[in-house]
Amino acid sequence: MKKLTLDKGDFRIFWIKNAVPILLIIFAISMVFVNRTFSSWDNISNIINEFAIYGITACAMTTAIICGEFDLSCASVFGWSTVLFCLTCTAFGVLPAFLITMLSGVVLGAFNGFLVAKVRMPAFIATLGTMTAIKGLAYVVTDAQPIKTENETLYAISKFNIGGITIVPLVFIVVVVIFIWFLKFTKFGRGIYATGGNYEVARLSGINVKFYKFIVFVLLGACAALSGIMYGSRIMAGWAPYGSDLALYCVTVTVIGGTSLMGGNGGVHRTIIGILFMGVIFNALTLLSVGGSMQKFVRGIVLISVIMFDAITSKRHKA
Amino acid sequence: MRTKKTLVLLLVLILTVSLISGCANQQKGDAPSAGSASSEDTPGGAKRIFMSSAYYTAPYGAPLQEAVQDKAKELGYEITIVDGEANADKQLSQFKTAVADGYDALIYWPGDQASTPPIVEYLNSTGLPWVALNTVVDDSVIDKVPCMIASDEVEIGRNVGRLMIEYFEKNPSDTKNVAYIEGSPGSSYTENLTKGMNEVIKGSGINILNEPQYAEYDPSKAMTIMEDLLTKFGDQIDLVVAQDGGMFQGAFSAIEAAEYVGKFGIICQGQDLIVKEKLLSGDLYASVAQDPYTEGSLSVEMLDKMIKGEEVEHWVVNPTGPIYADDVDNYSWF
Repeated sequence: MKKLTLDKGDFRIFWIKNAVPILLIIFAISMVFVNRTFSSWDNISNIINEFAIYGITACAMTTAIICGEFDLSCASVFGWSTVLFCLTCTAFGVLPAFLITMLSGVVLGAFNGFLVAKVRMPAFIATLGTMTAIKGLAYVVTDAQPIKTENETLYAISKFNIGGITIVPLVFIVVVVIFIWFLKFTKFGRGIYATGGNYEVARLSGINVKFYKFIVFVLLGACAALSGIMYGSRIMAGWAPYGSDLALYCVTVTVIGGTSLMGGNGGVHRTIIGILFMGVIFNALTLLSVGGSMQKFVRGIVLISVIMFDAITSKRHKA
Repeated sequence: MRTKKTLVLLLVLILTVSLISGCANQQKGDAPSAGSASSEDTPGGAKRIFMSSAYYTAPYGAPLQEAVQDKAKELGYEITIVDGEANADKQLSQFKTAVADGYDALIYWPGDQASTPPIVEYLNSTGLPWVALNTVVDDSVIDKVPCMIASDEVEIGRNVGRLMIEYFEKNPSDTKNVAYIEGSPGSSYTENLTKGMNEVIKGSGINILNEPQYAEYDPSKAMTIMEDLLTKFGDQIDLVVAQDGGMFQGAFSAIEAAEYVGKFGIICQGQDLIVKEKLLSGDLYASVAQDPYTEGSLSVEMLDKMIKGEEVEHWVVNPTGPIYADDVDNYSWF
């Protein structure tokens, strides 16, 4: 029988692989002692409700990054979706509005996918263009005005909660489970990793790399639309500039979680850690009465520290 | 080598955590750092005010937030101001965190009108005294706001319109052509200013040359727009109107570069230092007052009255009116 021991090397590997979650746990435990409110259910439910909306798109962004791609336009798809959802919700009701907005997100994502996979435009340029065009479209449709909806069913949905947890985190959990499942346990997921890991090798191995490049944008469009719907349902309003920090947020939590921007590795389960990390840090800063200017500075420092840590430990791990 | 790297990493992390704690203590003054600090926990029972500012980094936000801090200090309150980043969901979340943490009163600076109803509803449900600041809330909830401190944006626009008419009375022109630079599409401030201005200039013969041009309160964008307008309309322009001091600054740089200074009049809104300088030099015909410092101070004053159970007006209007070169000493500049 093999003796269960943890030598120095094992500990180092464990630390390298789990540094961010360990730091998150240490930080959260410290906060429990520093500020009693942090561990109150009101506050925990608040953190969960807050990160879930952007978290949905972050899952799709992680998948795109694993596939070696990136989408700047998700913020505009988000803003456009809040507008479209509110407009159609008032005109046709919640379910048709949901379906129309999701379809719109899929179509916009497919257009990005077409530009990148078929036309072979660099994702940065293609999505920069569509980002501007989609935001412009939202401004034109709404005459640049914020759109309200007073749909009673939507109002009831926005108020629905179980112990303070609204419907948004429940949707987020479903999305996370789906993403983790297909990335880890399906051929489709392996194709995404292979495409992002080495495009040419994957192509020569017979993997339909163009399909994977295309589909990650479709997923991103759909998830950005779903996030927009969730946001619209929370505040009962839509406007083109809503969610303008979404792309940056998604990349930040993906990197903090440990998914490499070079593609080919990482996972949505890691991004959840990044989302939790950011959610807890933001919440803690507010609870610690840290002012807005200092919050920005601290957030930047934390981000640099985590990325620097990841870079150094990964380098050492490879060595 | 490896040990050194580990030490560096640990140091960075320790610094980060220390920084966070340090910031907290700095903001709280002598307040104890452990536990949620409701007013009972703070020395002398000082009450705590929480403010979520949608436009924390906007030029108008800096003096406004400074005034909130100064007035709060003067009246013996502890104040925390956070950046709502014009994100209604984020602001709602910030307020929930603040309420959970036991703050005694709240200040809400909304990002836009349409998204205000759920937040107004939530703030009312807390039972805490609160005020809305700067941005007028949505019509559907305007009666539910206990106290709103905001400029009458339409009236500011009317003042701009009156100044335009006055300018053409003093500087007669056959064409009365105006190049008009606006703020952000869809923002209530931009829309209401234009609405008020149009109300007044209707039937006056004043002609707005350009389709809406939005510089989004960004001086560099205003400069680009002004360059384009000068290229397109050049000598046809009789008057330039900018919706705030920052955009005036950008537009003026373009006018200066194209050597058009003095060839037409300029009017703007705001109390920026550059506005004061150009009023005194005669490059700017007039400005319209909107004092962020007064607005910020009023918000804490009203909140103080509410905390003490005194009656407050439903809408406390931040004073406005024209400012000419002769009046500059009667106003604060930022």
